[in-house]
Amino acid sequence: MPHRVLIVDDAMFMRAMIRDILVNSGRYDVVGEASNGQESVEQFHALTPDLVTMDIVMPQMDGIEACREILKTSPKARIIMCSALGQEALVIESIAAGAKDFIVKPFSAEKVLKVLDSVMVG
Amino acid sequence: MDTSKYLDLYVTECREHLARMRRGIPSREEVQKSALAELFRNAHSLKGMAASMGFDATSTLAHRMETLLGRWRDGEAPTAGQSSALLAALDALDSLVDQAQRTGSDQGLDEAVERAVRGLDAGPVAPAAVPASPFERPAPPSPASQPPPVRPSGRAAPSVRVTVTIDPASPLPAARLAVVMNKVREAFPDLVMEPGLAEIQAGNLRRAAFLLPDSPRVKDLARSVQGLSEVSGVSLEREATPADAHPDQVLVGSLRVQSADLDALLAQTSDLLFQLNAFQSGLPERERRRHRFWLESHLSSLNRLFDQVLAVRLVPFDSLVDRLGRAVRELSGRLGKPVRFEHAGSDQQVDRSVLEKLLDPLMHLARNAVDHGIEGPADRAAAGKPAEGLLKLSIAREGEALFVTLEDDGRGIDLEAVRQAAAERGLYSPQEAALLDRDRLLEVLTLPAFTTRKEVSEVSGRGVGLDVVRAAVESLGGHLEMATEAGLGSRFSLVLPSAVTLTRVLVFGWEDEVRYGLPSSQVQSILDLAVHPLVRQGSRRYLDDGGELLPVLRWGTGRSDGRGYALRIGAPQRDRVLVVSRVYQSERVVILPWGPPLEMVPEWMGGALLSTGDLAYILDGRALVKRDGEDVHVQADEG
Repeated sequence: MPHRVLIVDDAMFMRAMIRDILVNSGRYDVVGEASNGQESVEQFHALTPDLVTMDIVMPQMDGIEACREILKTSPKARIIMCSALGQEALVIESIAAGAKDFIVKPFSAEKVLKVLDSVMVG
Repeated sequence: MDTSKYLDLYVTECREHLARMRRGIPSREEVQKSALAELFRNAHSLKGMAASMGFDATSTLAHRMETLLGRWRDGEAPTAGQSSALLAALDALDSLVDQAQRTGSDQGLDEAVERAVRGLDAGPVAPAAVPASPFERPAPPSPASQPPPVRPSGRAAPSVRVTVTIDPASPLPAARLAVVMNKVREAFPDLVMEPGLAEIQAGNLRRAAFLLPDSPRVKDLARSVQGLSEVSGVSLEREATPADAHPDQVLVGSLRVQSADLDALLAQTSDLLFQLNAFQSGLPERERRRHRFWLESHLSSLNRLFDQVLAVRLVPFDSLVDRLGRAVRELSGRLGKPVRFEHAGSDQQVDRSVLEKLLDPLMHLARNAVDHGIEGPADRAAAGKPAEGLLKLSIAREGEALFVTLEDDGRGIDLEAVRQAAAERGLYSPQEAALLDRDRLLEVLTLPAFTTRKEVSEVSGRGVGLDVVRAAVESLGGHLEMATEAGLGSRFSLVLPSAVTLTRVLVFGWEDEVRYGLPSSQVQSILDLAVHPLVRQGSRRYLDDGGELLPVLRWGTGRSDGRGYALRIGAPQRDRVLVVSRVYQSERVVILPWGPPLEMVPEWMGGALLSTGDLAYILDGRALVKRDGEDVHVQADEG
């Protein structure tokens, strides 16, 4: 059965791209999308996905804070941060906060899937 | 062996361990196993260091502490009184370390050490079967026992060196290493990671080595690390543990650096940034666009470097607060005056050099307060105060200044006695002395000629040496603020300037790309010109803020096409506004003073690097108002 994923990104374009990569692999199913941190926390509780891809810089609540919020109640949540180049410090902060891994824009299907697969296995 | 050259390092590291322990102990009830493990490790390290220095008293006391903490860690419940015994032992260790720093030896404190040891031993004795320290673990372990847990140290256990290499093509190698470290931590939760994440990032490392205890878990860990994205290699290598190795530490350790080297690093980093900014702004637009990626990536790397250099220099007040608290406890115990020490804001960060210079004056003020300011229990009862005196330290940032305030609820300073003494000492004629106001009298207290006289402490209710405190604060470019109320207490504020501390600034500009900033504390409000029109009266323009006419500062391009914003700047007589075209953001920056000759222009406070990589010229609102001239007051007849 495919793993259930929640995609969080304020750009619809990025969400669409990630969704295509995931769905085309056949191993993942996108069960929900959120466009900001606040929404992602709510969606997470409603959907209890196996995995979350979380953009870092978003309006209202940023990805790091959302990550902390989610982990507060679900410490086992698998959250993968989506970062752009030059955000290393933020990525490290997220990892320290408990995110499992990260992917870097621009995304390549191969790399994204490798990271997600390793998180699902680990 | 001559150990004296290690003394400084010994003292510094001991203090770090002690400070960490002090923070770990008070909330003992909720302490996690990992926190206990850390406390244990601290005590263990102290013991080892003291033993290496030949400091037997210190090492013995640390050993007793380690024993107790080891029992807690292994599941024994702490009894009432043990945690305060532990705190008392920490105090004794502090004194031992101080003694070592002063005299090069830890001798002469036998009584204190014995008392502390007795306190620690008062608890239930550990069952004989549980060895107190891993060093003393009997070998071989009984076959029925669990595999030994990860020990902070253990000469017996062989260890495995795990080396992880990150793919050179990885765009964020430090973040990748952070993921690796998380994996390692999941498998070995007790592990202390050095370097930490921040250092890894700063070092731009692509490879890390971990010394782990030899256990089947290591192989599983290696497999799961190998499975991570962008990990190009994981190698395992068994090695015999050298006598003094700490298997729980990453091989890349932390370094101690002279503050002067950090100063130079900071200066050079900011130089680089200034140069790159200058280069960029000098380029024709077309060139700038062409090299945009290159310029931006360099600026962003440089900015990160700059932030890291600054961050390395910043330290929280915790260690200072710990020292003060200990001094207060010690003195209040000795004088038989119960004093409660409260503090707030110890997480404020300040440049390390500043913290060091603050220690002595604050110690001095705290001792004075307990010794002279706070009354004995009988006097307090007579004055209707609670028996326990209160000494409160607060650290707060207000605008561009850092306020370090120490206040007590003691008897206050007898200003009339100060007045009398000033006349008696010949500092003032009796007539002059009679006219001194409150502020002046308080200032008299800080005059060297006045305060070096010992007997003043009795008449003023204040100890000697306020001149020293004042000098120390002024040497940092700050000033001392004092307030006192007879019968109610005294308050001393060390007010430090923004230099080397972070200041929040509001960033704005006019039509061009140049960014300017004002300390946010000086900006009272931002007014939209579309709502608050400018009006002209005589030669001057004003802004109408709800009926209040505020003079427009004659500074900057200040065009009045009705668009833009007015920044309201507080002033003694009448607030002014600065008319600007755009308001960008507000952020915390380090204001670097201009070198000569720009520093002679009072309105220019300095330059600051913004998170965007831009350079901002920081203005001083007060100087702007001052420069604007008195003519405004003269014609202040808005009628």
